Parts: sequence; structure tokens; C-alpha cells
Amino acid sequence: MTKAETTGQDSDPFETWRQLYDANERAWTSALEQAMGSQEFSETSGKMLETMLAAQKSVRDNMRTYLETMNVPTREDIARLGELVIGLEEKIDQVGDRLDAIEHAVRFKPAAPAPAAATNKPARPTTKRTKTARRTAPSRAAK
Amino acid sequence: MTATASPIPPDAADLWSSADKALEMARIVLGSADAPVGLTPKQLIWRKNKARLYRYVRSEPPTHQTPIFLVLPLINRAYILDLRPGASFVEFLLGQGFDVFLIDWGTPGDEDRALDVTTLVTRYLPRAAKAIQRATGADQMTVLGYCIGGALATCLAALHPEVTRNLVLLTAPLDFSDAGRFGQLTARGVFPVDRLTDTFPTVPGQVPDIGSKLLNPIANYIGTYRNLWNKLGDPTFDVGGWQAMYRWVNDSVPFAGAAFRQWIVEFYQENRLAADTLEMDGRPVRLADIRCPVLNIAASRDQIAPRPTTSIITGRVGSEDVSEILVEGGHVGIVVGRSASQNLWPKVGAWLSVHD
Repeated sequence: MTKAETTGQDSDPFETWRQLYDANERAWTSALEQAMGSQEFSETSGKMLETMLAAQKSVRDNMRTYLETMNVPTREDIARLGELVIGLEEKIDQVGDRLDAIEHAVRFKPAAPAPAAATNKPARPTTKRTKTARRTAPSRAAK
Repeated sequence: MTATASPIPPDAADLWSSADKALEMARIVLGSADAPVGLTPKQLIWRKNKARLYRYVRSEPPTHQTPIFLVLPLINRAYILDLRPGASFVEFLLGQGFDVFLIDWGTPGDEDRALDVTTLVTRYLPRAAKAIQRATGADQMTVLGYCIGGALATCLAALHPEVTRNLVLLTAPLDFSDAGRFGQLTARGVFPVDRLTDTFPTVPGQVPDIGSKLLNPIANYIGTYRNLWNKLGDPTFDVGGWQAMYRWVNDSVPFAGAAFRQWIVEFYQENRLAADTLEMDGRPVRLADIRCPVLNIAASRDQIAPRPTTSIITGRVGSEDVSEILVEGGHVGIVVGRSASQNLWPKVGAWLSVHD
């Protein structure tokens, strides 16, 4: 006689649970696979989810109305603030992208031909000179 | 008066032994929420919104010139590729001399309701790639995507070939014409995706999690605990490893509403990526535009990304250098576990070394 037979180990609930599982796992899996693989299961689970979502939406809408009445910020209000921050971060990133593109263009600018090199001055001084020239031109003309 | 026959009482010692095992099992399961994971030292080098790009710390300079950019799925925690010492793909890659980067998408909040897959591919990934270029000085990188991250990596490789030296896909679903039971459950007219994303700004992590577990409910909901029960008392049982894995499986992440909707509608229901009709920011995303070397790794018993969803890449990319590794196992098992570290990782390491 085995120990289980002599001591009645089968009445140990944990061992019973394990044996039950081992004996039925394949049958259960196969049955569930068959049931859940059907189109009907997909449709029913979709409808169940839709019903649960309708209930959830109703709870959320009621809660929002209640909080708005009480002048308490809702989750949506706080999320809207977060969206503004995220949008701002994106704008900063876009500025960073532009700076990167400018830096890349400057770094990899092809070397200018030799004769033009002398007049190839940085943009800022050139602009200043132009402004100065425009400003000084009438006075010269007056003289 | 005669004594009635009573059943033989259970051996008290056996019963207490089983009760001890049950308590031990409860201790292991409940303690898994605090299991140490993702322990490889890393440095934050870029961030945008909730996304974080990490560079794993190396004690010595890398011996390979091409950095590796790991793109993780949106619905799981990023530490799956760095589960724990000895069971970490990241640790393996570092040991092979690679410079490893990982993007962790973080946990989206209600404010991310409008964050879609297009934004992640066109605004996040290219900027993260640029941060890697800055950090390493390398113009190109190996982009390695896991699961949904593989689909994102594929889109990045198609839209930005200038940064992608190699594309490695780990169980990445790309063709949804035969998406198995997931495809059935998310079919148009069956799955209320619009109502779901209207109700929840971020789809609760439990939704995709339950969907995954329902693919094999007996094994996922009961078999896990039965296997643990059998291992209790075994001196070779790696409790820490089991807890880390259990933690990851149950540590689901919410899915930003717009990203979830786009994933279900444009990828699952309309199969746009495989049909070459996917557009991001007005640009077509075509598999044929991927001309870099490609390594596709698929699992034979994968129910989340069944074989028909992962096989398309080999015949459709524009690259002539396409390899495939088909591993015996499931969706997660091929990435972690003893078999992964002994069989798959060395093969991936060898492929990466050749394509450095």
C-alpha cells in the first residue's frame, strides 16, 4: 500500500487541487480553445466589453458633472494642463531641431571658391554695414 | 450501539507540509511585486514627455563601432530585456562589447490621449536616434525592436534609412492578415475600439493583458501557480528569477488612447503596413524602403505574434541581406530564460558582430 492510501493523503486539499489540475488540464484547455476560437465568442466578448464601457462612461460623466458643479478640477482639467506642457516641450524640440539643422549646415558648408573668400564675411557685420550705409546715405547726400 | 465507519484522517504532517507550501507560494507570489529587476547601471541621456533614453554603463570602451538602439513595446515594462543579472539580454550585449541604448516609453497619463504611433515614430524615435548619434559620434545604429517595438523600429527603418545600419526584429508582428485569435478579438465590428478610447484617455494595461492571457487561459491563470507549486522545495528552483518574471508579466502599462486606436485600426484591422498603405506625417511607410541588413527572430509557438504575422519581413524588404532565426518557444520565453541565453543570444551577438 502506498503512503497516500494508508494516510488518506487525497483529502489534503492542496494535493487534491494539483491532481485535479493535472488530470484535467488538457481537456479544459482544449474545450476553452474550441469555445474561445469561435466567432461567436469574439462577438459576445465585444458586446460585453461595450456594455461595460457604456457603464464606465456613464460613471465618468456623472463624476465630471459633479466635480464641475462643486468647482473642483476634474481629471480632464489636469490632463489639459499636462497637454499644454507636452505641446510646449514639442515646440522646444522643434526649435532644437532647427538649431541642429543650422549647425549641420554651417559645419558642412562647402568651402567657398578662393576669389569670393575675401568678401565672404559673416552675415551680421554685413547687415550692420548695410544699415549704416542706409543711415548715412541721406546725410552724405545732404552734404 | 455501533460505531459508524469514518474516512481515514489525513496524515497531519502531510497536511501541514502542504499548508507550509501554500504559505511559501503566497509569500513568493506576493513578494514578486518587489523583485529586483533592471539592475544593470544606466545613464539617462535624453527624455521627452514620459519617454526616457538610457545608455547602459560600460566599464571599458565598446569594441564594436555600431551602437545598439533597443526599442521596447508600448504595453510592457522595458526591463524585460534587462530582467536580472544572469538573465539579461542587455548584460549579454554589454559583455559582447556593444554600446547599448534603450528607450523606455514610461507610463502614459490622461494628458497623452492624443499620443499616437505616428508621433512616436516621427517625433520620438528620430530624436532619440539623434541623441545616440551625439553620444557616440556614430552616424548609424542597429535598431532592435521587440514585439510592438519591432513594428515601430520597422517604421523608423523605412522612414529614416540614414540612421539605421541594421534592423533586428524580435517577435515583431507586421502582417495582420492572419493574426490568430488576437486578430479575431480585435476585428472590425467586433471590438469596440472607438468606445474604448472615448471612455478611457489611456487604455488600462489590463485590457491588452487580459487579451494576452485569454489566448491560453488555463496555463496563464492556473498553470503558472501549479508549476510554482511543483517547484517549491526544489533546491535548484530559482525563486528570484520566477518572481522577476511574474512581476514583469503582471506589470502592465496603460496604452495611450490614440496610439491604441491606431495600432488596432491601422495595423490589425486594415493591415496597412503589410499592404503598403501606411502613412506617417504624409510619408508612405514601405517595407521595400528598408535596405539595411535585417535579422528577423520569430518564435514557433508564439500566440501573441503568431508566425504568419512575423514572417512577412523576409520577403518584402528592399535589402538583400536578410536572415531569420526561428526559435522553438513562446513570445516571452525566447527573449529570457536559459534557452535564450544559451541558444539565441549568442546567435544574435554573432550576427551583430558580422554586421558591425
